[in-house]
Amino acid sequence: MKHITIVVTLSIVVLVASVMVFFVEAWTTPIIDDYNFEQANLAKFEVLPLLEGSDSLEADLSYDFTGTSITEVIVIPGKGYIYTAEFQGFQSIITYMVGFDTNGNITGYKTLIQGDTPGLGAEIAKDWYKDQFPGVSINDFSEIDGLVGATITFGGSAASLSKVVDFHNSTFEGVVLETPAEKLARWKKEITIDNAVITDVSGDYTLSGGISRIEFANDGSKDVAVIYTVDFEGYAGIVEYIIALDLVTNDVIGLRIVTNEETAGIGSVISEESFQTQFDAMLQIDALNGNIDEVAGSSAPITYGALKGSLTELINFHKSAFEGEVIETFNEKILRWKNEITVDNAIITDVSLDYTLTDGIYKVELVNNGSTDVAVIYTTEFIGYNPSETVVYFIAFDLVTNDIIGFRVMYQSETPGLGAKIADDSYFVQFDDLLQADALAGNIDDLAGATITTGGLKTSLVDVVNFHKVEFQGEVIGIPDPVEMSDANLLLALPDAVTFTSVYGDYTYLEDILNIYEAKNAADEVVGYIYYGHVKGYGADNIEFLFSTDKVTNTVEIVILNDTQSWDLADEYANYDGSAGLDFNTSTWLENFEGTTLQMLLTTPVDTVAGVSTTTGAMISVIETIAQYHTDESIGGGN
Amino acid sequence: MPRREKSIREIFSNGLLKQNPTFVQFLGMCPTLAVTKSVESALGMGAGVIFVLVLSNIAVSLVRNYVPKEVRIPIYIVIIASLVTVLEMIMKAFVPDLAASLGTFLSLIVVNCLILGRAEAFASKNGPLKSAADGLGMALGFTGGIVLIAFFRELLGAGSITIWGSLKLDLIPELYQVNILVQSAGAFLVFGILVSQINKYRMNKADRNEEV
Amino acid sequence: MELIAIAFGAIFVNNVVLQQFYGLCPFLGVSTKKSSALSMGMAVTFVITLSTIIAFLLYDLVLVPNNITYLSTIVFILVIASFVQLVEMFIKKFSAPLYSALGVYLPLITTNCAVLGVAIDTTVNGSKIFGVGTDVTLIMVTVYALGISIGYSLVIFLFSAIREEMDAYPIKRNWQGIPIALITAFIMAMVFYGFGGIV
Repeated sequence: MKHITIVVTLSIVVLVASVMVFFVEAWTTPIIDDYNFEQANLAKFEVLPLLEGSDSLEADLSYDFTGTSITEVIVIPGKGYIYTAEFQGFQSIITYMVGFDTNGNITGYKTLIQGDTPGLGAEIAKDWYKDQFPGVSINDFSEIDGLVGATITFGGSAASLSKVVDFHNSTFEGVVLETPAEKLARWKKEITIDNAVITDVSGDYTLSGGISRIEFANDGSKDVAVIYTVDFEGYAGIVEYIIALDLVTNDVIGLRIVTNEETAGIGSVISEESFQTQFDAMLQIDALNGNIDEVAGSSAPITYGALKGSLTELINFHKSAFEGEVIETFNEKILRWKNEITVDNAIITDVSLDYTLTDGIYKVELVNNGSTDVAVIYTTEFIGYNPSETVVYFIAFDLVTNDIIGFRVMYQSETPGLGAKIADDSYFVQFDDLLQADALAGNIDDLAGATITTGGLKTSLVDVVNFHKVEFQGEVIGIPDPVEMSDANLLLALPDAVTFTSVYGDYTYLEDILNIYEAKNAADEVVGYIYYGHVKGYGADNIEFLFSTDKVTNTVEIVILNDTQSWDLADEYANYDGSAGLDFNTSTWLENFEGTTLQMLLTTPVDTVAGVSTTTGAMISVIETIAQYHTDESIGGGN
Repeated sequence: MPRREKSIREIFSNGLLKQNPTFVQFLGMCPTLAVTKSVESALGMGAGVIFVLVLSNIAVSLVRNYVPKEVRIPIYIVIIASLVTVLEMIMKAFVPDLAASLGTFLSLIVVNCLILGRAEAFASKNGPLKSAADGLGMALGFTGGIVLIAFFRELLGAGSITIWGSLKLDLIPELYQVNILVQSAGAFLVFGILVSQINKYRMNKADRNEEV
Repeated sequence: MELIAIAFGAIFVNNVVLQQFYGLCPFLGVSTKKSSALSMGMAVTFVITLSTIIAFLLYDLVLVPNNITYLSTIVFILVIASFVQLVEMFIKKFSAPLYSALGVYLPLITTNCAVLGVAIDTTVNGSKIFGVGTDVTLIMVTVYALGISIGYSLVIFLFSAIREEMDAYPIKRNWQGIPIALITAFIMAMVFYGFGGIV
């Protein structure tokens, strides 16, 4: 009986409890599921707050997203649209979600995935950016602020969003979008005249200079303008534009950028309307000389430079094709230039074969004014910033004063707007009357931002001037005089010696060696040799040192005479024993060159020290050079 | 002398102060420390305990005369566990964020010694009305206790007092917050100091009573 | 490797008492003597490990397939209560020394929230412990439960040793007992934060 009571009571309690739990479960489950659903689709609810748990969030797969950056669209009838799209940020592909309501307003924006620079591109995921979107019209979101300094990321965001809007308007709002061809046709009328009849006449011309099409705009009675379709290589890709020139005045009457893949926010600004309007009435000469206004605050020298170059070529083409102007050939131009920088009607004779040409000089020409040789022209090449194409120039020297009287660049493939400026007329002018000494000292315009190109030019000029001095001024660029060293210092390197005699003149000149001494003992026997050398380390001044080989012990020794090396960084590295202090000349590292043999130095390379690799690397190199020299020249038997 | 029957009011205030579960009886210490990071979660936990304790006390009191002695504990546990499950589902449905912040401790109300303790010590011997009063008093005492701890932890540790959702007062700037107090370890510290101070007060009062 | 990380995390980093606040009542109540702390630790290890395994199997094989996970709390507490009862009866019958060592502590364990807490955490809240999307296996759960138990025993034993020492010192009246124990636990919890840096 007792057991039955227990079982019955337990059963009743469990039953009642189960019924209660069951009812509550039935009541709360839908609510909990709703909440969980909302959590799982938080981003969607965030960008379209009108959403409810009962809405279907199935992506509609029936649309074609080609040409947009959209990856998904969800249509919620009567409430709005949720787009997921992506674009290239500065360092990463950025994925975002944006919601539109049915009234054409943005309801929310949320960055889902990004890997851009913290503090710059990564700011796109922050609240301050996304909070600007709700309530903004999809057709004008220009007041959304980006972040100065992260134009690529924020510009990309705006560009991507406008593609989404275009897709949205044409797909859901019934807005008929202009096809690219229609837009181009409209533009051609905009930059010429309304109702223009456009006729393609490309076939009548030999196209060059990036021109892909030539068309006439006819007003119904006569051709009034010519429209060129031109492309050029910008910074990131090909830029294509159309430009119209009036057939009466031959001035520019309009320009439109057709395709532009330049960096968003940088080179891409040439597509801005404010930039293009300046071409509405531009004198031909301004287009020819690249007198165009850059977009305020923009810095895109490569894109602008390439555009200016393209315009110059185009105007020249137009002049020869429509204005009957004969554009000189390349060879004619070179000949004209050579006359310009020397004398008119010059008789130019190639005398290259009379000389051994070095240092990039590949042509030497004498300029005769009819009676005497007045100048010499050197044609020379050097490598500038572009490693695959040389820059070729020619330079004229007066044969009386031996100063420079002119300079022209024949070929160059340097960066437009930067290194390419060395081919500008404005750059040539400084050479019209340049002292030889200034050319040697490199006193020429550095061209800010193109110092690699101008640096290459300076080095080349020094070579040419030296060549000229040797060949035309009879100067012998000989071996420098030895530099004397006190016996007291020499004794530091070879303490056993008594007398030191310079044997510098007996051997081949080597730039690193300032002097060579033969050391003898009291019995007048040769005990060794001492090299007085110098090398450029990291410090401002050369390191001067003595390096000796002891013929008796067959070992070498090094003495540092002076140095200004910054050796501080070395102690941060475990492999350098800095116990002897942080001075280079007392560093234990130098022991690598002490007490060992020349053979060891030549066969077993010494390691540089991390942190001071410039100094130690230079030192190793010069000692190895001297050791090799000692062996090659067989000085004192070579060991 | 037969003990005088306590009035409902006495029963209620007994739990609230004299036999405060948090500071005097040290019952249900796990949630006391775990959910006192913010006043909001302490209030939520308190509400949950009020719900479960009052209902479980009433239910136990109602069935007290029909339950065989041998199986009373399992039956109490079933009742309490069912109530906790109901509470859990209701909170997940209507205050999901709070339910998430209480986490496992919501389920752990089942093993809160306070609930089973009151069922065994009071509700199994008294009528439903008194049991409800006892449950309410104890649960309010518990709530008061954990809210007090949470008040100090959140105020000094996070510089704010969160009553409910966005109803939040920011009082102390970040520079002056003692962050350790809202971390796990800080719970021990704040609770320990509060207990010692309450002990001091009670002991002084007891001393005075003796002197009289 | 993964199992070692789980065990280390369970023992030190997410220490059941100091970080998760499970099982505080016996922690403060029983831990006044080293010997009783040790016995409690053993009993808890035994019960937590086995009941977690049972709970996990029930959850995986019965509750989830039948879509009644909302009954977890009820089912688990009943399982734990019956299991503790069973263990007690079993030990009483077969091992007198073990019973005298653990017997008193077993009934206390039913209301030790660490047992139910670990059972719920490894099943319903499994993603919180093992990471979202992890396929939780029985071996992971066992290692975790064992780690939690070891962490529990370790802390309760250390704590009792400190409290034994503390008996020798005069403590102000109002700080005696629970308050000073809480302060000690505070310092231990701070020490255990150090382990967080290892993983």
